[in-house]
Amino acid sequence: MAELLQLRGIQKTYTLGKTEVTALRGVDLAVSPGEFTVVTGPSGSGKTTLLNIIGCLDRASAGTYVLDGEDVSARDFDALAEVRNRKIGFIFQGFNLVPVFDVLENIEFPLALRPDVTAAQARERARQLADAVGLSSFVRHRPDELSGGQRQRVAIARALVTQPRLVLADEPTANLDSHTSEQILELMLGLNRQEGVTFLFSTHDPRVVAHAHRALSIQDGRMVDGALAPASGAGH
Amino acid sequence: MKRLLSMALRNVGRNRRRSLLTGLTVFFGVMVIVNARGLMWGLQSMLIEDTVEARVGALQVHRRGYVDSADAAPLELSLPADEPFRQRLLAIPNVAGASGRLVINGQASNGRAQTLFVGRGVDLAHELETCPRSAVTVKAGGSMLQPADADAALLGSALAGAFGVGVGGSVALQATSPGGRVNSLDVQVKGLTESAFPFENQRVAVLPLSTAQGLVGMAGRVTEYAVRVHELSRLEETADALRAALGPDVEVHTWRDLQAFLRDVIYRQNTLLGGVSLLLFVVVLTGIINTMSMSVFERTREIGMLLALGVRRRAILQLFLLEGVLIGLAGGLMGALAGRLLVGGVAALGISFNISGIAAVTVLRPQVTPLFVAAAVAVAVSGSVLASLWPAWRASRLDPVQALRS
Repeated sequence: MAELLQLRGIQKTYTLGKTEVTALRGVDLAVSPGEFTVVTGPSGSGKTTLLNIIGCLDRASAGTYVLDGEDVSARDFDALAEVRNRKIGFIFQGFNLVPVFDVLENIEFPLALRPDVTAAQARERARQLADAVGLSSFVRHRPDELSGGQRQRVAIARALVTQPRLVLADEPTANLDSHTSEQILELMLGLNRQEGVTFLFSTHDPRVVAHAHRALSIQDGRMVDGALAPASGAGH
Repeated sequence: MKRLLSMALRNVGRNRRRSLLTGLTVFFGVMVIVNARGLMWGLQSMLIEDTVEARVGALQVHRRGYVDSADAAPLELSLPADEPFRQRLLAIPNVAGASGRLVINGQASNGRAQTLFVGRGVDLAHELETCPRSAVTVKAGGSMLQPADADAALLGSALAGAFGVGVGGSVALQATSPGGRVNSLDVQVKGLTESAFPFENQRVAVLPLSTAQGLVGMAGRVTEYAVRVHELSRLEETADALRAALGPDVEVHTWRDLQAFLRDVIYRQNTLLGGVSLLLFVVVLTGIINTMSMSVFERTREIGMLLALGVRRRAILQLFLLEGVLIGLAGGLMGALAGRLLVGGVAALGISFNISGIAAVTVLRPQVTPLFVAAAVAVAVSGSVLASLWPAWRASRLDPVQALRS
């Protein structure tokens, strides 16, 4: 199966004042469609930087990044915005919902940015996803009227609304209690199994790691696991 | 754009107190500017009316070269004081009245003391048609000259005071004819005039035209025609029409040309008001900049999220600009409405001025044009765009990674 994403020799160097900090030192990684992959590593290991580059939020200082068959390494900001909107779904640790939007508006928002999608289509798709994540009774609620678990469900629905090729989740259970974390994890695993959605997590949560097809470890900006070899459970 | 507008509207309502305070700043700014302008225009209109309707006329017609040497009252530069000439003036569109005058220089004396005076001989049959408020400058106790009056005068209050003469007293006037003959005439004081212009009080004596003509031996001649117009806004075009009709031997001046002092006062008032308005505008803009900057600061993480979801930088810029515009528009519209209502209310009541010694009351009525009110709103909105530009640009240039980490 063709790889969904492929990183080759990715390096990232930041300049902090007069000091240069190297966050990634030549990362190679390949992820196949349908994988449920986690990236683990201690704080400062470079995993968030790696996810930012994979999520097209940041650009590598060196190396190539091919996503869904397209080299996105040298794209400009607006082109990367287009890639993010069409191919990547984001689930953030802090939920990051639009506080003035209700559940449906939050879910449909990324889809509504597309000029080729009508408002009615976006609304219909948002309703389907609200149902899928068990929030059909809360569609008119605003984020501040929802629990942490419900907010993360909205964030998951929003990440899926554009039918992205890849969903990136940055410690999605870090702000949730263990019961809710379990539910959220089950929800994402279900979506992975039933819809074949590719998930890539950054996490410290051992329960998430335990459910992953593949657990990658990063340390001092280098992969310390066989990142180029997709797991055998991938590609549902 | 519809979604952006909806989002901007809700964001404005998000921190209600701050948006309300900023909107109120715009509201008060616009309201104060509309009212200050209304009062200023009302005051200027009152001054202009006082000048045009009580003294100068909207336009004056002279023999060419007269105004340049007006201080010397050159009697040889005269015009016919006849009905056909007056009718030529009245035939011009927008001309509502015309009255001949003879302006002379001379000496006034009460037998013990003497002083220089400027005599203004007026055609009493038509003067009130041309300067309908000229009567109101006569102080209580006196009366306006009547067409049948001869050898009578209205004296400036300070001029009369210099001789210790009052209503019913007499003064000897002496003047020289164009041929060099010195004439003298005793006139009875029928009233004293009071003006906001010191020169009028200190030097001017108003005489029946025939008395002035007799004093300088210029029967059938005047040195100027004062002209009243229906619409002051069409003053220049009326002046041009008069110039075209009367030919090159005659010059036509507007009140602005003739009353440089008043014109300069109005110019200075407008400049001062412009400066104050600009200052107020800067204060309002500072308020909006502050609000929008706080908003960007507080919503940095949210902006990062929007960028991550694929919102373009341009859309972020538009979002914050829209929020600024909404605050400016709401505050501006309400300020303009309140300002307009206040100006209308005060104008309906009128602010009365009782000038000492004058029976009639001068009433100041603030006035603003719809165009000015619309312009005040437009300035408020464009100012809001301007004030939001920097915070909005900063928001749009945020790095999504840094913003999400904030």
